[in-house]
Amino acid sequence: MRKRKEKRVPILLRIAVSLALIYILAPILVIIGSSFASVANLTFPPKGFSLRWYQEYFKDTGWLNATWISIKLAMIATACTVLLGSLSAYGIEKSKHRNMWLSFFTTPLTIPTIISGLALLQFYNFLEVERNFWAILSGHIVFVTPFVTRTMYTSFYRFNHSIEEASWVMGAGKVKTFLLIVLPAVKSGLMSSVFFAFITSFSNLTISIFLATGKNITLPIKIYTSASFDPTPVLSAISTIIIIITITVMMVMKHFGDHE
Amino acid sequence: MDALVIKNLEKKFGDIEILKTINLEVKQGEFVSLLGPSGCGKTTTLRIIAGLLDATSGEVYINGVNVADVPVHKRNNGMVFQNYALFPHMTVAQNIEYGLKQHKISRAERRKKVREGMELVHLEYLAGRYPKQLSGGQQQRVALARALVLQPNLLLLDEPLSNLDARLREEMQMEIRNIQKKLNVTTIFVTHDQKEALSMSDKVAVMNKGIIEQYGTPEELYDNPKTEFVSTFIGYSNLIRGVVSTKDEHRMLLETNYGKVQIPLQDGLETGSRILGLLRPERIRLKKTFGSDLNCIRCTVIERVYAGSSIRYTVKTITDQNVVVTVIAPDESNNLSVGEEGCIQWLAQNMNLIEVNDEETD
Repeated sequence: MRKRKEKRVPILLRIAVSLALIYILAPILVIIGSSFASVANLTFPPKGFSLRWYQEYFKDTGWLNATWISIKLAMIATACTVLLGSLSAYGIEKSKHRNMWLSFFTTPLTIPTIISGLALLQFYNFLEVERNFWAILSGHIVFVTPFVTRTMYTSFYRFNHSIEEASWVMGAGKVKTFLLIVLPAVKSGLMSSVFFAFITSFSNLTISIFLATGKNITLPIKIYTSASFDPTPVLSAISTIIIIITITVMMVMKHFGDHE
Repeated sequence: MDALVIKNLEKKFGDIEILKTINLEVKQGEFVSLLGPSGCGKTTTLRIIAGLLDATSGEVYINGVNVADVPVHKRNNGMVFQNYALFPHMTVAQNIEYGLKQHKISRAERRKKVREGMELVHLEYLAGRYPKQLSGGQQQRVALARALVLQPNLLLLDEPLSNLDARLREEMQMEIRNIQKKLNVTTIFVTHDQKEALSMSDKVAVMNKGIIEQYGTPEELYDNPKTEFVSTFIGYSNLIRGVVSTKDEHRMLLETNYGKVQIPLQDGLETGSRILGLLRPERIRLKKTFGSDLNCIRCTVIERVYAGSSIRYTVKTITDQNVVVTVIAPDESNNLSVGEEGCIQWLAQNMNLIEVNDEETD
C-alpha cells in the first residue's frame, strides 16, 4: 500500500461517481440478493433467506453438465488461444510490415459476433462437420484468438528487445531465450490474456448458440434458455458463483502483478 | 593471429548502403574504438560482429574462424548494451550466472565465477538485488561483469556510457579500461564521443558514412589526420585550401586562402595540385612582431578566451579568414588583446597536407 496525500474531492464529483457506481452495480446487487431468497419467483427486495437455490444448482445434473462443458471449453480454448495468439503476436512484432499483419490477424474483431456465429454454422454445414464439442471449441478459438493477439502484441511491442539480444549473445538459442527471457518479461500481458481468454470463452453465448446441439449445452446457453422459459432463482445463484470466482481470480492476478 | 579481422564488409538495408567496404584488423588484447557521428555505421558493424545482423557481403573472422555460419549464440562474445539490457526478473547474481548456465558450466564453477565477476566490478554486496533497484552505474557494472565472466572472444560495447552523467562516465571509462587490461580481453567499443575514444583506446577507427576514414592510434589520428573529416571530428583543425603555384628544387609556393605559404618539396605534389592543409590550433605560433619573415601571416585578434594555462584566440587574416590559435603558457610576446595586430606562423611539418581531387566537391 502506498501512502497517498489526502486530497479533497469535490462534493459534486463524489456524488457523480457514486451515482455511476450504483448504476453499474445495482443489477448485480439485485442478482446476488435474490440468490439468497427463500421464495421461488425472482423478486426484489428478496423475501427470506436460504441457500436452497445453491443446493438446487449443485443437485441438478443439467446445470452441472452445462457448467462442466463451459469450463472444459474455456480451459482448452484458453490454452489454444494463448499459445496461438502469443506466437502470432511475437511474429507480427518482429515482421517488417507489422501494422499490416496486425490488422490482418485482428480482422475478426471488426465482425459482429452474431455474424461470425452464423458464418461458422453455415461453414460447418457446408463442410458437413458434426456440430459437437470440438465444433464449438474451434468456434471459440477463432473468436478469442484475436483478443489475445492484440493484448500480446502490445506486450511484445513494449518489451525491451535488447534483453533478448543479450540472451542470444550470452549463448542461449532462440527457443531458450523465448522461454527464459521473453515470456517472463511479458508475464503480465500473458496473465491478462489467460484471464480474458477464459472469461470470453466461458461467457460466450453468441457463437455457442449457433454450434451447440442438445448434447452440448453450455452454461450461457442454459442460463439464456432458462431465463426465457423457466426463470428460477437458481440463475441468480449461478450468477453469484461466477461473479465471486471472477473477482477472486482478478484479485489473485493483481496480487501477482504487484510483485513484478 | 588477429582476434578480429573484417574484410570488405558491406551492409545494405533495402537500397540504403549503411556500410561500404569496411576493413579492420584487431590484435588479441587490443582495445579498439569505432568512432563516428550517428548513422556512420559503427553500431551496424558491431552488431554484425556479434551476429545480431547479417552482412550483405564480406567476411568476419574471429580468432581466425570465418563466423558467417556461426549463429549469434555460438560466437562466445560478451556484449554490453546502451540501455544495459539486464534481465529484469533476475537478481544481479542470476544475471551474471545466466550465460554460464547456457555454457553448461558446473554449479560449483558457476558459483566461483559469479563471485569473481561481482568482485571484479565491486558489487558483491548487491548480489540479491533486482536491476530496477540499482543505479545506472551499478547496472552498467553488472552488465559488464555478466559479459566478462564468459571469458568472451570479444567484448563488444555499444555506447555503454552514454546514459551516465559526466562524472560517473569518466570513472567508468577508467574502470572499463583497467579491467580490460587486467583480463587482456579484446574489446570493440562503439562511441560518438571523440574524447572517450582517444582516452580509452589502443586504436581508433574513425567512421563516416559507412566507411572507415582512418584507423590508427589516438596519437596518429590527432597528429596526422589523413582526411578533412578526421581532422575536424577529432579535435579542432584550421583548414587551409590552396594550389601549388610554383616549385623549384627545394621549395614549393602555395597560394592559399591564408595568403602565400612556402613549404619544402613534397612527394606527389606538382604545380597546379590542389591541396588542403590541416593545422591544429596549438601548433600555430602567434607573435606580436611581424617583420619580413617568410610564412608570417598578418592578422588581427577578434576574440580572446583566457583559460589560465592557455589562451584561445580567434584571429582574422588579411585575406579575411578566421583562424583559431591556442597559445599554451602565454608570455609577454604572445599575449595579445582583441583588436591588436600580430602574425601567425607554423612549422611546415605541423601542417598536414592532403591532395584534393577536383571531383570531390563535398
